[in-house]
Amino acid sequence: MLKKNNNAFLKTIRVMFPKMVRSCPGLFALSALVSIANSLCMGILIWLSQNLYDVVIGAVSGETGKPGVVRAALLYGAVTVVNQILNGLSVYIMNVIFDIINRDITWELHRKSDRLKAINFENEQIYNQFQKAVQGRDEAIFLLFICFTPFTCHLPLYLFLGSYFYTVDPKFIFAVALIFLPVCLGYYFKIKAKERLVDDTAAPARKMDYYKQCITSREYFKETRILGAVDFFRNLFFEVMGVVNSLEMKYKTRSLRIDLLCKLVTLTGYGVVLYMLFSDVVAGAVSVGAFAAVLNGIGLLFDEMKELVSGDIGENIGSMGAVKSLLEFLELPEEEEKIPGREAGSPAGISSENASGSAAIKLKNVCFRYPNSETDVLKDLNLEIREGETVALVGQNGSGKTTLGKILLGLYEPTSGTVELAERWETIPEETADRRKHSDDGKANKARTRGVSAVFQDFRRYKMSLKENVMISDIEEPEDEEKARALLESMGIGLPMDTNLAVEFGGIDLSGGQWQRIAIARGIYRNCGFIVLDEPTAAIDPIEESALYHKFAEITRGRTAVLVTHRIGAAKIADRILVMEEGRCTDAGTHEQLMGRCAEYRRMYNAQAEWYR
Amino acid sequence: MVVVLARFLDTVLRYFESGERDILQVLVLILVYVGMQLFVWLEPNLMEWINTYLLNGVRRESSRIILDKYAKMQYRYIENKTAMDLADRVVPDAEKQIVQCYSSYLNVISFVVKTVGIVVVLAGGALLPAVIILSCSVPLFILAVKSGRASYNAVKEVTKAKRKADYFSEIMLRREYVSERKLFRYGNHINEEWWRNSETARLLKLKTSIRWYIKSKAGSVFTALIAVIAAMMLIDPVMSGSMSVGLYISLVSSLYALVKAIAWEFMQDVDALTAANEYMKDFQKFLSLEEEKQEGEKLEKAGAALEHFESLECRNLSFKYPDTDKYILRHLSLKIEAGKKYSIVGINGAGKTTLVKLILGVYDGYEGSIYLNGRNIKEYRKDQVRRLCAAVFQDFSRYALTVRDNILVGALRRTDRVSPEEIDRGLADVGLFETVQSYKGGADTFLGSHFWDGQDFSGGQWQRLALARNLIGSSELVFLDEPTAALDPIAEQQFYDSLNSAFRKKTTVTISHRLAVTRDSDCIYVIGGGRVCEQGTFDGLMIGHTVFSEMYESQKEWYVEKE
Repeated sequence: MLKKNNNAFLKTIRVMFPKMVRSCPGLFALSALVSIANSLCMGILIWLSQNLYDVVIGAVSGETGKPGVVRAALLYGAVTVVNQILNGLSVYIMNVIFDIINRDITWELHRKSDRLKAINFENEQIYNQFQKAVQGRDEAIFLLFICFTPFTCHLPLYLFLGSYFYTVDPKFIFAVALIFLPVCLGYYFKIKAKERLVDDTAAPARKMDYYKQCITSREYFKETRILGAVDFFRNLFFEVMGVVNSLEMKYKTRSLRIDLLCKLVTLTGYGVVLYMLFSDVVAGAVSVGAFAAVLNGIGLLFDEMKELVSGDIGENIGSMGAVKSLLEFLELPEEEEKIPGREAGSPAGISSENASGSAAIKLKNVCFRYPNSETDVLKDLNLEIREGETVALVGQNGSGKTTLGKILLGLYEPTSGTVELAERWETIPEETADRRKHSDDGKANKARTRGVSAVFQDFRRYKMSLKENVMISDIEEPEDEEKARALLESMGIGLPMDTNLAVEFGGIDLSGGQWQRIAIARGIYRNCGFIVLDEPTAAIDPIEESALYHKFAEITRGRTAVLVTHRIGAAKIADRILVMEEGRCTDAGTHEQLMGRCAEYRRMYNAQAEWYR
Repeated sequence: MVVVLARFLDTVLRYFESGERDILQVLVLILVYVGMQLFVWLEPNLMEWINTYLLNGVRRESSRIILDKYAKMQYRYIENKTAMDLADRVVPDAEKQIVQCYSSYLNVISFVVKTVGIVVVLAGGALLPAVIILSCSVPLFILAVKSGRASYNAVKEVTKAKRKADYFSEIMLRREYVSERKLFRYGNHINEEWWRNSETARLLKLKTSIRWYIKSKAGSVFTALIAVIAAMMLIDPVMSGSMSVGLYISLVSSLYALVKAIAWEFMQDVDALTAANEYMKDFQKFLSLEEEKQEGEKLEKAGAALEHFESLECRNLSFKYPDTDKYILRHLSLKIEAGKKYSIVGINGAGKTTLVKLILGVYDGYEGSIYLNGRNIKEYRKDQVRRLCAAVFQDFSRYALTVRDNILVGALRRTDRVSPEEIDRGLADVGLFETVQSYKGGADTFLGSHFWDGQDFSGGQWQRLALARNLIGSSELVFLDEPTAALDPIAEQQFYDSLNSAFRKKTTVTISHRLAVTRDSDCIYVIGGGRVCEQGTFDGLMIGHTVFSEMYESQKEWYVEKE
C-alpha cells in the first residue's frame, strides 16, 4: 500500500515537474538560484556570528581592537540585509511562478475538458474525479511545488551547516543526526495519521456542507423555510458536525502524543550535544563564539526542519489525493481526432461516409447505455432521416428521446450499431486545435458547409451580453449582427444587442421565457443543415408557444430537423412523427397514419386532446 | 495568555542562563535550557491541540449563529446581489476566520511582549540602544498596520477581477455546459476569454503583492539596521565590562532573531489581524441584515384564532421587487374560500408566482392587504400562516435525503406522527409508490448523487415527490405552481386525474399554462397587467371574446382534427 503510494507520488512528480518547468523555465532557474543564495546566506550568517562573538570576546580580553569588532558587526549586518532581500525576492518569485503554473495547468484542464467525450460527463466516477481535480488544483500545484523547495532551500543550508559543524568538531555531525532521526520518524507517523483523518472526514464533511446548503443556498432556501424544515436540517448538520469534530480531536490528540514522544527523545539528544559543546569549550577545543554559533545553528536547523516537514509538506500532504486526481484526469483518453474520409471500420464509430440516396442520417441497430448503467436507453434502433425532412420525436419521459437527439448530433457515440451522417455535416468529435497563440486557426474550417445545431432542454444562460448569448453558437464564423438581431426580433426579444445579461456583473435579469427565446435564437443563429429542437418551449406560455411552433414550422422548412416534444399536437408540424417507447422506435408516420394504427400515439394524443374537447 | 507569558519568560531567561559560566551549575543550566527548549518546541503542538478544540467549539457556535440568521433573515436578501456577496464572504469557513482573528491577536501581542522583553534586558545593560529600538518600532508597527489594510483592499480588487475569469472557467469545466460547448464548439474561444481575464487578474495581483513585499522587506531591512547599530553601541559597555560577554552574545542573536521575525511573522500577523478585523466587520454586517417581521408575535391570541383555513382575500395588492421600479402586481384583488378548487392563469411574467410568494410571506413589502380568515395576515405569525398555506413551486427543492425524509420534511409542522402507511399512500397518490417499492431500500433509499449511493430520480419523479411532500403536510390551502411542467402528457393527464382525489381534503389553487386543466375549477382567475382581468368558471370565460378564450383557442388549435 505504502509502496504503491510512493510510486504514484514519484510518477506524479515525474510527469508534473517537466510540465511545471516548461511553464516558465527562466523564472524557475532564477527562483532556484535566488533560494540557493538565500539559504547559503543563512548558513554564512551562522558562521559569521561565530566570527563576531570571537572578536568581541577577543576585544574584551584585549586581544583585538574595537575596529575589528565594528568590522565584524558591520559584515554581519550587511549579510543580514542581503539575506532579507534575497528571502523576499525568492518568495515573491515563487508566488509568480505558482500563479503561472496554475494558469497553465488550468488552461490545460480547460482544453482537456473540451476534448473529452461528452459521455464522460455522464460518468459519475469520471466527473467526480474531474471535479476533485479542478477543486484541488491549487493545493495540488502547491504541494508539487513545495516538493522542490528542499532541494533549493534546505539542502544547501544543511550541507553548509553540516560542513561547518564538522569543522568545529566532527562528532557533532553524528550527534545532530541523532537529534533529527526521531523528529523525522515522528513526522512520518503524523503525516500518515493526517492522511487517514482526511480520508475519514471527507464524507461527513461533505454531508455537513450539504445540510448547511439545504438551509442557506438559493436552491433550497425558500422551500426549506416555508416547510419549516430549518430545524430539521440544523439538527442533521450538528449531528454530523459532532462526528467531524470528534474525529479531528482524536487525530490531534494522537499527533500530540507522537510529538511529545519524539521531542523528548530529541531533547535528550540535544542535551547531550549541549554538554559536549560545553565540555569542548571548557577544554578549549572550541571557542565561545563557536559555541554560540553552533547553538544558533542547531536552532535554525530545527526551525527549517519543522517548516519543511510539518509546515509545508505536513500540512499539505492531505492534498496528495488532489494531485492524483489531477494527473489521472489529465491522462484520460481524449476524443479521437477525426480524420476526414476515415473508414467506418470500428463498429461503434461514427462514420462520415456519404450516405447513399437522400438519407441524411441513417441509424443502424443503434444501442446506447449510459456509463455504469445496466439498462440500454436505446435498444436496437433503426432510423433514417431524409434530407430536408422534419421529424418529431414523441414519447413518454424516459423513452430515450433526448438521448437519441444527442446521438443524432454526434454528442454521444452509440454503444453498438452505426450512425451515418451526410458528409457535408460536421459532427462533434473533431479535433479542437490549441489556439492559444494563433487564434485565427479557425479560418481553416471555412471550407465547411453547414454544421449541426440544437436547442436543448437545459439550455444555458450565459453571463454575457445579449449579442454574445446568441453568437456564441457560431463563434468561429465572422459575426453577423444583422442576422442575430433579426432572429431575436422574430423571437420577440427587442432588447439592444449589447444588453448585459449577467446579473452578477451588473446586468439585467430576464424571465425564464425570455431566456428560452434567446436560446432558440442561439440555436438557429448557428449556420446549420441539421437542427435538433429538444422541448424548446417548456418555459413559454401558451400563446407564445403556439406562435413559436408556427415559427418552428417556418424554420425547419428546408432543413433537416428533429423536434423532441411533449406537446403531441405540435408534432403535427413535422413531416413524420416517430413514436418512442422504452428505447425503441415503435412507429413512424404522419399524424393521421399514427392515429389510425399506433395505440401509444393515440393514447398520448388523446390524453392531451381530451382537454380541448 | 499563559503561553504568551511563558514565551516571554523563556526569551528573557535564555539570555541570562547562556551568560552564566558557573561550572557547578552547568548541568542544571543545561537541564533548564533543555526544559525551556522543550517548552518552546512543544508549545506549537500544544497550541495546535488547543486550537483544534477551540476551532471545533467556534465552529459549533458560529454555525449556530449563521444558520439562525439564515433562518430568520428576509427572503429578499437571497435575491440581492450585495447581500449574497456578503454572505459568501462571511459564511464559508467562518470558524477558521474567527479563530484566525483570535490567534492573530495573540501572535501580535506575543510579538510585542517579546520585543519589550529584549528591550528591557537591553535597558539593563545600555539605556540608549533600548530607547532607539523602542522609538523605531512604533512607526514600524504603524506601517505594518497600514500595509495590512491596503493589502486587504487589494485582495478584494483582485477577487473582483477573478470572478469573471472564474465564470469562463466554469463554462469550460462544468457538466451543464458540455452539450452546448461541444455542439457550438466555442471551447477554444471561451478558453481564450478565460486566459485574457485571468491574466488581468494575475497581473493585478502581482502588482499589489510586489508592493506588499517591498514594504515588508523595507521593514525588516530597517530592523536589521537598528540591530547593527545596537550591536555596535553595545560594544563599549562590553569592553568596559559593564555588560557580560554572554549577555552580549545572546542579546545580539536575539536581536537578529527579531529581524527574522519582523520579516515574516510580524507582517503576516498584522496582515491577518487587519483582514480579521475587516472580516469581523463583514460578520457584523451580515448579522445585522434585517429579519422577517413577526408582527403577529405581539398578538398573543392570534395563534388560537388560526386552526383551520376558511378564506383568503387579497385586496388592492400592489408589489414591486426590491430595487426595481416596475410593479409586478397592481391593485390585484381576489378571494379564495375553503373547499373549492381554483386556478390562476396568465402569461409569463404576469405575477402569478409573485402572488403566492406574497401570501406565504416570502416577501413583505407590498401595498394593499391580505386577509386570512377575515383577519389581516400580518396579525399572524409566519409559521402559523405557513402551517395552513403551502406551495409547490416550479423550482421545488430536491433534497438529497431518503425518499421518506424527503416527504417528511413537508410534515414538520404537523403535531401528530406520520405513519408509514400514510407515506405509502402519499407516494401512491402521486404515482411513485411502485417505483419506490422497486428500490432495494424502499422508502429509505437515498436520493440524488450528493452522496455515493444515491438513487437517481428523473425531473418528473422529483416533481411528484415534491407534491407528495405537500400532500402529507399540515396545510389546508395548497398552491400548485405549474405542477406538471416536467411531466409527459400521459403522466400529466394521470396527475390531473388524481389531483382532485389526492388533494381532496385541501383547497387547491393551480397555477398553470395548460388552460384546459382549469376546466374543473370552481373559479378561474386570469391575471394580466398585474391584476385580475377576468374571472369565472371555465364555461363562463369561454363565452365571448375573452383573453382566456383566446389563449385557450391558441392551444386547442393543435388538437383540432382536420376532417
